[in-house]
Amino acid sequence: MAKASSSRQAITANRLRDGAVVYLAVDGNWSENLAQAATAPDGDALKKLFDRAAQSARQNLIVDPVAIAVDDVDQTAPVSFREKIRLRGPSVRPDLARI
Amino acid sequence: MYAYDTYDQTFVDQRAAEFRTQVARRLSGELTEEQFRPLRLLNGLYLQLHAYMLRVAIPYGTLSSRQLQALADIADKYDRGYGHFTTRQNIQFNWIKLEEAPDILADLAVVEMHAIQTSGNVIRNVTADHFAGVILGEADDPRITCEIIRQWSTLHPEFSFLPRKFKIAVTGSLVDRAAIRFHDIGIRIRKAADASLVHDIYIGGGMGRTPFVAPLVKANLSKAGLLSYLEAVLRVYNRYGRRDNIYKARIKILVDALGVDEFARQVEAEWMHTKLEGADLPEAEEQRIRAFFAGPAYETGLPATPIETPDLRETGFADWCKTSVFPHRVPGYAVVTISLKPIGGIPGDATSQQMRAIADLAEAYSRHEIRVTHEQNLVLPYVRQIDLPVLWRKLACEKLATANVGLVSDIIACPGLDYCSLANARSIPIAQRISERFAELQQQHDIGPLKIKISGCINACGHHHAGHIGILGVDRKGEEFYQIMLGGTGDETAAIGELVGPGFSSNTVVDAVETIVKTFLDLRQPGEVFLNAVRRLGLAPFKERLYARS
Repeated sequence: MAKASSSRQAITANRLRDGAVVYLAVDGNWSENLAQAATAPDGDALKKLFDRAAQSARQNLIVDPVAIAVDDVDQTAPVSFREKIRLRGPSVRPDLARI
Repeated sequence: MYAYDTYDQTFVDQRAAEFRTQVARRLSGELTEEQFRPLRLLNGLYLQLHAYMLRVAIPYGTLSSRQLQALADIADKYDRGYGHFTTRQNIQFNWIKLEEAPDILADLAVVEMHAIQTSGNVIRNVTADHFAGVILGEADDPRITCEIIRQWSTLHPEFSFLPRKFKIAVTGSLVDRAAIRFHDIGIRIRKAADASLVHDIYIGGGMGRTPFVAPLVKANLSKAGLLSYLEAVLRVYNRYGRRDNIYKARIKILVDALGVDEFARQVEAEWMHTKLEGADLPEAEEQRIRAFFAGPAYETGLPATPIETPDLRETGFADWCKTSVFPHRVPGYAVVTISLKPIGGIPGDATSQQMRAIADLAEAYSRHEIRVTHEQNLVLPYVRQIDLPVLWRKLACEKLATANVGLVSDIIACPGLDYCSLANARSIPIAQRISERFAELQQQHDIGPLKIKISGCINACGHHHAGHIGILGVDRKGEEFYQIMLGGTGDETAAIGELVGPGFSSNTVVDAVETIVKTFLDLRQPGEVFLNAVRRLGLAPFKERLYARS
């Protein structure tokens, strides 16, 4: 199976109040939907996204923000297996799947 | 069972109230995440992949029907209708909201439960033989010692910031069902020649990155000197444990570095001080705690075996009795293990409906008491033999009568990458596929006793080092891979499994397990069990079959 190529990243975190997986959206809010996430290549644009995430952490909206690689072709798909599970929910409980 | 007095209840109520204020301060921003994290961990609240996870303490794995009912209510009210029983005899809820966590602790306090010391660098929930107090040949009920240690260690000011987490297990039997030699301290209670109770203290065992089987450090320790001796052990560890390196911070590394004799010498020297400091429990207090574990008033003159009717003979009751029913020390009674390992199911998970059903069955048939095993099953400890058929039928209605306890599909699996933020690979799907591969019950009985244990990372919550077949999930360049170990065991012949060779992909690991089992079936001697065959044969024949094609 060909490996996904990735040149762009999104910012993910957990929401403080309930721990839900969220992504920094284009509009600056936090969304549970990766399709709404802002993405950027490594560099200044990504740093700006991360600065915004750090501000949200200081505002007690989210915790533990990190950048994750997303697929170049399908930017609604994370590259790492761990992030795929975070996005979809436990693979062993399809009844609890988020998407 | 131990019952809280006013002091215990006030303490737990106050702790729940304190956490409510801490959460409120975090949500308002008064506390930063860095300030709050250690506070939430002191109350068993982790942040995992999908949500907060709350680990609730079940001291030495003993639960009342009322408590299990409360856990079912929590699963429905605050989670998603299920819970996960762990290898430390605790229960975890996977979908907790931070803002609701204080309400959960308050609900737990009502039924004398909490989540204190289920995380952090403290003495964790003390575990015990899950057949404590009901099995033949036991020197003493280990839960008495566990409860004494629990009270001594809870919020112990000197041991609240240890170099690393600290785990203690206790058994009163020669047969070790508590894996004591894989603990920081393992305690075996024995009767000495003069019939007094003594303790053998094993120190420095553990799994994780660097597994050790604990050596015997102190034999024949008198009951009266237990707490002062434990205090001396913890004090030496607290002073010399490696706080500079998280991977070398457990006591097993200290014992190994000093050598058993030198470590024992240092503890003895410290013990001279702790004995004088009054750490030991007065006899009257020991007797007060002991009284809680006297057990129920047993009926006499009960039939020694269940009455078998034709329908029982045809429907698998005998298979269930063979694996799930164990002899009780009192004639006419049995100990029943309820498998939480249905074929293709998630090891250790129980729905709220199943929890309520088990709570009801414990009320009707087991004097309101349930035990949690470190192998992620549940136990009803006081079942009358004559009640076994009706109990079996009722368990079967809830899909809780799988006749596989101790067999190849009775697998320990940690939550793995499906839930855990530390994991590198998934554990649960591997367990599910192995149990499906060996689903046929007659085949499982033919294979005989076989313990498979799976961890999703090197931390070894799935006890892979102690598996007859141990499986460790690793991340290899973004792909899940699985290393296989053979010959481990947590019983009284404790041993660490040996790596068979290169790992297997997610697609091939179940085939590899099947190859190992087939090799055993081909080479075993009459009546030989898997572990003994591995010990006799060594790894060579298994390696030969596993890697023949490559």
